[in-house]
Formats: sequence, C-alpha cells, structure tokens
Amino acid sequence: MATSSIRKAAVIGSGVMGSGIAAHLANAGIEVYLLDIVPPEPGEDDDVNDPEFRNRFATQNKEKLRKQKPSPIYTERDLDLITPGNMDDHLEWFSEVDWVVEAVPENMDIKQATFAKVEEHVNDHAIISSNTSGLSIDGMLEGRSDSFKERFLVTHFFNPVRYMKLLELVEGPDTSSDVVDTMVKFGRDTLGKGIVFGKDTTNFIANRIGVHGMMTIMHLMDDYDMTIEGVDAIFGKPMGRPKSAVFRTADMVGLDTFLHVAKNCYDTLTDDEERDIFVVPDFMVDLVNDGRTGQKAGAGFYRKTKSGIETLKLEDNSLDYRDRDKPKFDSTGNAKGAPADRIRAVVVDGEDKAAEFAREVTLRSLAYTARRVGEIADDVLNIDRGMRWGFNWDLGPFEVWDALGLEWTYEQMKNNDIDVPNWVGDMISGGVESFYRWENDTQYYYDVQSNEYQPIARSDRELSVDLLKRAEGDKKVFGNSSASLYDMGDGVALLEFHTKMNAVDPDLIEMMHKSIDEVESKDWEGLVIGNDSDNFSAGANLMLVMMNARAGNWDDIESMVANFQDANQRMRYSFKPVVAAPKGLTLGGGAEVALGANGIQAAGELYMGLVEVGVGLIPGGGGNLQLMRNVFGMHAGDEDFDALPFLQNIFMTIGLGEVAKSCEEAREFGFLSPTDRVTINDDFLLDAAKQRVLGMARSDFRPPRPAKFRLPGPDGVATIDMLLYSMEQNGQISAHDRLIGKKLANVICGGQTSPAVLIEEQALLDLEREAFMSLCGEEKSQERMQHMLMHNKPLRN
Amino acid sequence: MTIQDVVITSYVRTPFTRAKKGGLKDTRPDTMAAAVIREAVERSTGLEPAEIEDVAIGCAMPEAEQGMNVARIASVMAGLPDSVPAMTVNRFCSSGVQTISQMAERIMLGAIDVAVAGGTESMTMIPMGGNKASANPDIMNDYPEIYTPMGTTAENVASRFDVARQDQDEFAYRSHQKAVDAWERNFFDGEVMAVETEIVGSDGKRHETTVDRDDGPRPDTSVEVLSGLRPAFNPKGTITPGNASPLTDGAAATVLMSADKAEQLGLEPMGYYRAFQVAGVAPDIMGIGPVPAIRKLLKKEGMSIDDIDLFEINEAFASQALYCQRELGIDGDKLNVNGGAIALGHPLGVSGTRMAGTLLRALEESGGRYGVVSMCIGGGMGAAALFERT
Repeated sequence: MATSSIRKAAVIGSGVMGSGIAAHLANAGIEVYLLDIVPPEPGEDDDVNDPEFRNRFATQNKEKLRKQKPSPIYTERDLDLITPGNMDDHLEWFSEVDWVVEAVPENMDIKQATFAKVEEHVNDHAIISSNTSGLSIDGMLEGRSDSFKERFLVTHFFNPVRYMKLLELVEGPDTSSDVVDTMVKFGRDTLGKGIVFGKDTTNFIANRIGVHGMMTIMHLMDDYDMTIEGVDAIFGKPMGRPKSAVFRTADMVGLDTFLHVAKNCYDTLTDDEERDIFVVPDFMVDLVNDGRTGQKAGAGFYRKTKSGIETLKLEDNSLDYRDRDKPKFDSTGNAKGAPADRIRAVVVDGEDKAAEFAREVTLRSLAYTARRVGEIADDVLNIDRGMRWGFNWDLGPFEVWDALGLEWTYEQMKNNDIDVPNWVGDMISGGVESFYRWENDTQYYYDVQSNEYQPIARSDRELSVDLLKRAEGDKKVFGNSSASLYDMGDGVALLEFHTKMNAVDPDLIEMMHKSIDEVESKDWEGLVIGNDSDNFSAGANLMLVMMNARAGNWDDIESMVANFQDANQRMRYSFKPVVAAPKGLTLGGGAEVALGANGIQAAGELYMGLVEVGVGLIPGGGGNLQLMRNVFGMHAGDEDFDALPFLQNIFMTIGLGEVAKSCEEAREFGFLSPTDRVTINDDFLLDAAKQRVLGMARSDFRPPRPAKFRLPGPDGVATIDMLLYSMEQNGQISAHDRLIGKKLANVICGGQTSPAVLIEEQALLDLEREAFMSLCGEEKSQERMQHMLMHNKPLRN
Repeated sequence: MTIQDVVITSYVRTPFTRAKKGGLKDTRPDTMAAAVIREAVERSTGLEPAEIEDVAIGCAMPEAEQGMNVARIASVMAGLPDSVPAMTVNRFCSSGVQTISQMAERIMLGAIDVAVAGGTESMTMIPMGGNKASANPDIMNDYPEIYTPMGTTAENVASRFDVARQDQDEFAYRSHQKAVDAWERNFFDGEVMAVETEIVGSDGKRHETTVDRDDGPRPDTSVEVLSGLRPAFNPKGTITPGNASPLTDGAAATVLMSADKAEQLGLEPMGYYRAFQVAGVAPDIMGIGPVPAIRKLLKKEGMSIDDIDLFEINEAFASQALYCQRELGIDGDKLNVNGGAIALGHPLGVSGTRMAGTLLRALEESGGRYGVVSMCIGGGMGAAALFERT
C-alpha cells in the first residue's frame, strides 16, 4: 500500500532539474536526500574513499543553489534540509523516504539501472517517479516488480522548478489511483504546483505543443521576411506570450536543450503528420556545435556585448551578429488591453505582414493542437493549463481559439486547407460557440470525448475575488474606485484593493477605515486583506504624493499620512482579527498594510520591502514602528534593554530599501513574524487567510497590547550617523542619502528620548510623520519621486 | 634624584591568530594575558613574583571579557601574589608600548624597581569600537572627523598623499615575505610561546589544541594575487583586505627592571628603554601619526633618522606605513625587518609590546644599537619609543 503523505524524499541526479526539485522540496519544508553518482574519473589528488570526493557531484550542485539567479531557494536555511550523497554508499537512505524521484540523464539504460537500484532498497510504501520528459514508462520499468509499477508514475517538473507552476503527471498502465491522488495532493497543496495530466507520449503536453509552435515559427519566418526581433516583437506581449517571446525564450532555455527536445520529437513521432516541422534547421545545429547555446554561454540568437544587445543575422543566412533593432508593426501596436483583445487585434483585425504571419502560425498551431486531443491529453483543459503553466502563455491554445471566435477560426483553417479534426466541425454544427463558458462561479470546458460541457473540478480551498464576483447572490458589501469589501463566507470579510498596481491612495485608505468600522460594529468574525492580482500592492500612489509636494499642499499630504497611519493601527488593535494575504510585490505602503495586520498569510513568492528611500522618503504609514515592533517589540520595554544593535539592523533594512525575495527572506528581515504562515499555492492563499481569521476569532482573539519602547535618542542617532558619515566619505552614499538616513535614524531612535524613558507607539508615529513631511519638502527628494515616475528607476542624487 | 637605567629582561608573546577563525578565537583575553605574564616572569630567571611592583597591560577595547581591569585579573591568574598591583592602559594601538613607557619611567624615577608591561586583545570577542559604540551628538555635528573609521582614514592617507595601490600591494607582499622568512629561519621561536588551549568546533564542543604559530603570514601570496582583491571600504578606493592588517587575537608581555636589579639577579638584558613621545594629528588622517611622533622623539633626544639602525612602524595599513616611511626617508632595509602587522596581525593593544620586543631581538641579530617603535593611533595620534641594545 503506497503512502498517502510525503514527509521525506530522495532525488536522484543533482543536475539543473534534480537540484531544482530538491530545492523546491526544501522550500516546502520537506527533508530531501540529493544523490548523484560517485565521480567516475578521480583526479590525482582525490582520495577515492573520502566522502568529500564520493559525494562531490551532489555536494557541488547543492552549493550552486546558493548562487543561482533567480534563486531556486527561499532562504539559505533551506539548504539544511538537503543532504547530499551518492548512489553507491547511501542506497539505504531509500528505505527512509516516502518519495523517490529520478532526474538522471535521459538514457534508457541509465534509467533502468537506477530503478533497479532503487527497488533493492526502497521501502514498500514509497512512491517512485521519473522526471523524464520523454522516455516511455514501459521501457523504464522493464524488470521491475508489480508493486513497484503500481507505485510508479512520471512527475515532470519545469525549469526553474520554484517558479514554474506546471507539474505534468503521467500514469503508467499499472499506476494505482491512490498513488496518483497522493501526488496530485502533494504537488498542488505542498509544492503549490498546477497539475496537468498527460499521456505517455513523447515530450508529453507542454513541450510537444510549445516546441511545435516555435518550430512552426522558425520554418515560416522566411516566407514573411521576418527577423528574429520581428518574431519576438509579435509573439511576446501582443500575442499573450511572455516578453521573452520565441528566440529569447530559446536562449533562456538553452539551444542545446531545445534541440534535444525537437530531435526527440522527430526521432520518436514517426506517425506525426507534421513530423518534418521538428527537423531542426542547420543553422541551429551549427550554433550549438559552436557552443553558442544561449544565455548560459553568453551567446545564442542574441548576444550581450558591452555596447548593447546584438542579434544573429539570420535574414542573411549568416551566423554573425548585428545591432539589435526594434521593429514596429501597426497590428502589434494596436494590440492593447486584455490578452484576448490583444491577440484578436493582431490575428483577426491586423492587416500588415506581421498580422498575416501571426495568423498563419496561429492557425497551423491551433489545428495541430486540436489534432492532438485524445493523443497527448484527454481534453482541451489539460492542454491549455499546460501551456499557461509551463510556457507562461496568458491563454492556452483553446482559450486563444475562443478569443478569435470558434467559427471564425474554423473557417479560416478550412479556407487555408489546414486539416481540422471533424469534432470541431461537429461542435459548431451542434451549436456550441466556445470551448469554455461560465455559469455563476462554475467554469465548464467542452469535453471532446463526451461531446458536452463538463464542470472544471476545483479544490474547495480555491477562493478568489473573481469567484466571489461570479457567485450567485451579491457578495460585495460596499466599495469605491480604489477598494471594495466582500463577504467571503463564514462571517469573514475580504478587503480587495483594485487601483493600478494596487497603489495606496486616499480612497483606499477610506475603505480601510470603513471596512474596520463595518467588521467591528457588525457580526463579522474578522477581516482578510488580499486580492487576485499578481502583486498585493506596489506602495503608495507616488504621483499623488509628488504632485501635492510640488504644489506645496502640505495639509493634504499630512492628512493622508496620518489617516494611513491610523488605518494601519486600527487594523492591528481592533477587537476583530485582521489577516493580510500578501503575494508578489508588497512594497512601501503595501508592506505597511500587511505589517499592520494581526497576522500575515504569505504567498511563497513574496517580494516585500520598505523601499521609500529609493524615492527620497522614509516609510510614512507606520512601517518604522511596525518593523521595530516585529523585530524586538517583545523586549522593547525591558529595563537595561539596548535597542541599538536591533535598530542598526532595522536601519539597514529600511535605509538600503531591502526587498525580500521570498516569504522566508521576508521573515529573516522581520517583515513576517515567526508565527506567520506561508501558502505556496496562490490559488489557496485567500482561503488560508480566511481560515486563519476564523482560527483566531474562534480561539478568543484579543488585540495585542501596544509596545512600549526604551530607545537611545540623540546618542543613537549620532552613532548611526557615524556610519553614514563614513559611507559618505567613502562615496557609497550621497549627502542627500545621509540626510534621509539621519531622519530615519531620528525616527527609529525615538527623537529626543532617552533609554530611561518608555515611549508609546504614537510618539514614534508622530516622529515618522514629521520626518516624512519634511522629506516631501526637500527638492532632491521630489526629484527622486519624479525620476521614479518617469523612468521607473531610482535616482541617486 | 638619580635617573635609573631601565632594561628589558624578557619578552614573550602568544602566536597571533586570525579573529573568529584562528586557534585563539575561543581563548579569553585575560587567559592569554595570564599566560604571557607567567612566561615572561619565568624567563627572567631568578626573579621572585613578589618582587614585581606593578603590572600594566594595554588593551584598546577594555570591556567585557577584557574589562574589569583585565591586568589585575590576568596577574592573579598568572600566579602573581595579591600584593602585586596591576592596571589596564588604553591609548588604542599604542597601548602595548604605552605600558612599557609608563612602567619604565616609574623605574627610571626610582619609584619602583621591577614591573611587567604588556598587552592583550581578543578582537574575536570585542569588536573594534566596543560592544556598545556611542557617538556624542554634539561632536558628530561639529567635528565628525574624530570618529572617522580606520579604513576611511587609510583611504584618506592614500588619496591625499598619492600612495598608489600597486605600491601598497608591493609593501604588503614584502611584509609577508619577511614574516615567512623570519619563521623559516626560526627567528620567532625566541619570542612566541606555545599556548595550550581549547577551541570550539562546529559541534559546539571544546577541543584541546596547541597554538604555536602565527597564522597570518602567507608564503603563497604574490603582488598579482593582492592586486586582484577588491577594496574593503571605498568601492573606488585602494585599501583591500590584503594591504591592511587583519583582525587578530593575541597577547604579549615584557619584564622591566632597573639595570642594577638585573645585574643583581644576573640577568642578561635585551636592551634599554630610552624615551617615548606621542603627537597629535588630524583624526581623519590618523595614519600619518608616526611622522610627527618620531620627529618629536628624535628631536628631544638630539638624534636623527640616520642614527637609528632599525624601525618597527606598525602596519595598520600599507598606505599609512608606506607614507610614513617615505616622509621620514627611512631605508626599506631598516623597516620591519621581520614583517609587520599586515602579515603577522594587529591585536590592537598588543602590537606595541610585540614591536618593542621583536625590535630588541632584531637589533641583537643584526648587531645594531638604536631602534624606534612607532604606530598610528585612532582619533589622530602617533606614538614613538626609543630603545637601545645593551
């Protein structure tokens, strides 16, 4: 009987994928063994019996996790959960684990030998999986026992594992359904992945369709006189694809990897009607043979030089580089708004060469994909999810089809002699208008096998503002142009921000006050602050602050700041629990909102920081007080407590505008407290926050007692200024940086106080507001704000 | 009143090891001081501990593990009787020679006859600036230069007096070469004692160890390696971890007495203490301190640079040491002949004692007569002491 929970795992193969999987397991708090082979060729100085030598591959690849960018780990402490070893000396470790996943080279003999070794030592309940991207399950399991086969499946992760949502699961003929259920739950709930069910076909879903699309583009681009930049200008944002589009994506993935996948398709898909599409153009083979494998080699389709970025002169059939140009097309220029609108603007409404090119590529790719339904996946849903989660497309192929119009697209294919499967025609003649539709808060997809719509199954942990809006009955309590309050069920209210980048402005602050009034005065259990966007909030509305500063509207600024401070304090000290659910960018004022709550339920991908210094200001919504309270609030009033070492750390965090690059880094900076929790799967974040509110409300929540502080006062400011003085001397900071730093120091050191005195939170808020106002009046700070607004980059002045 | 001649009869130091990494990282500074006091007294054979009339130990950050008047704690730990008094002396980096001067001049006056002078510093345990640095807001406003960090002062000296990066790196390289050579020809065996101590491993447990060698000198370094290091303080500056002295743990002690007393005990003196001067300079270029200090010293003694056979000028930073050498016109062959703080390390309150002791031993080896010990001092000072070999 296979295990139903995974607490400890082993990863075999410590290359990019293996170490990436191990790193993400560690992110999720799972202990993991990372195993590789004993180096086959010892050097002269190597002691072949020394563990240092024998574990070298796994140890070195584990070490590399520390340096990789973007970081595969949440915190360096994750590395403590990863134990490196080798496949000769540590086979007994397999008996301890609940899951063994292999990521060894894509070679059938190696895979078989690996699984034979695993079977000798693994316990009888562990799940075993392969991260192969193409080898057949039958082949890999040759010689394995029935019990092994029942507990085996393919778990295909995408690189970089931490950031790519997709996890393709492929069952073998003997895989037990319990094993699949356990892996779905583990992948989704524990690792935060989006699960797609593939079939045992070459390269499964995402790589098959993705590479086919890219190869189609490469084969057609000549016919339309398209350059590399032209292709990337079309198949990036306008077509609802990531900015890296086609060729830059290939550079990022690695031309060698891309080539390997394409070749694998060609070699094994002997019955594919478009098999020849997978023939890799000679120039790509030449590039790879020349070592120009993309970003990791410093050159591929693009090359970065000191003077800028250069592009391969493909249009001249040359492998030399030239300066990159920036082609402009009318059709892509008109592509604005939501992804569906953009794609329609190019493919349906566009009249130029770029549009014709995009049209042919899209029609051919969609038709090819449609012909794969039943072969690579049971339904359109799994294919669409695969492309969104594995290739970061805004819309999957059938969602694009819906955007273009089911019938329009079908007609276009017919007119261009592109082979469309009969079921599409049947759908249309049966009166079906789209692959997807909504009914209240249930979404349906058109199931090709049953010829009818099927509801898309959803975990009961999935909760979003979008679903609340679609739900039957009005869930909205009230709202204005900046924020709205919803009823998220079970007596919990949800405050959603919906300004641009969820920036904090006076209307939003008003809604904070109104929401807390509502929740406190009526029969609510508590309040969640969160939203559906990728980013919780990028900070205060800087434009507003700058315009008011430029116009000298000091009262307006001051009342906004005071109101914001009050709102954040009320969130903390109201007698109903407030939980913030930050994810993505949570900066400046956004961070202050989160820090004000009684608890934070954070996404794994949390980029949180008090970054006001970058625009010449310091936190003004209580951020200084909040961080102090988090970092040392518990001891802040103790007799003989020396706050200065803590203040120096806080000073650096705020003074350097540090941004945490994960939930756990946010905890290390003190933005999250030890009891704050993390939900790796974004889809579950709001529900987790709601459960947290309920847990607090139902376990006799009372607001915390405000902190009181013994702070060093002017001596502390002078001591911090000593550091600033030396940084200025060394050219590390400007005179204005020092001025901002001194004002920040004055706030966190408590102004004129002394350690003999206990001061209240409000005294710190008053100091903060005063410093914020005075910096708003500084010409150089205004220049910084203006520069950020105009160039989206900080100004050093 | 007759002025007594004062002789140094013994000198010993611990190995100097890197702070937080070296063999002495877990040895308390009072324990290190006790070890060198006991050993120095023993090396002045025939001297009864009860005959010692004062103990002075230099320490630049005399607090916490090296607080509570560390000299008194260490004396008692060294087995000196309760009747022997002790004091801790602090003038930052000159503390270790300040103690020698202070004790020697008491003997010169005839106030006392025998004393121990030395220094101790655990830069592992007490950071530069101490555990609780605190600036005075008024002076921070009016004259922040007074608090200029040492690295910045070294950058200031380099940029204001045109000391090139290349020259600094070459100076640092020579310091390592000289120190390595001194160890190879067993010169340091005559002054470095082995310390039996404990070291805490990553297992959190204490392990017995014997520390018997400086860990700073690098036989394998080169100007190329040094020139590849990145600046440590000013990103556009020239001061690197390679051409600055490292943070170091260590202790050193000497026994001083009147020449008459030494003769009475039948001890062969290492040399005479002659004179000591301190001079002030601008705090943001404190590294130039040895220049006015040495000039003042020589002027008062009616001597010139050429009269001096060997110099020990502390290598807090190559930039300032090299500046002083150039400004004073000192022949490279006379300077820090067994390496300096860049290679050996610079436990702040100890270096003065080390330089005085090693200077006398180097004079002995080379047959020279006069030697000068000098160093720069944080806050803007320089100290210089004159010694004569017997």
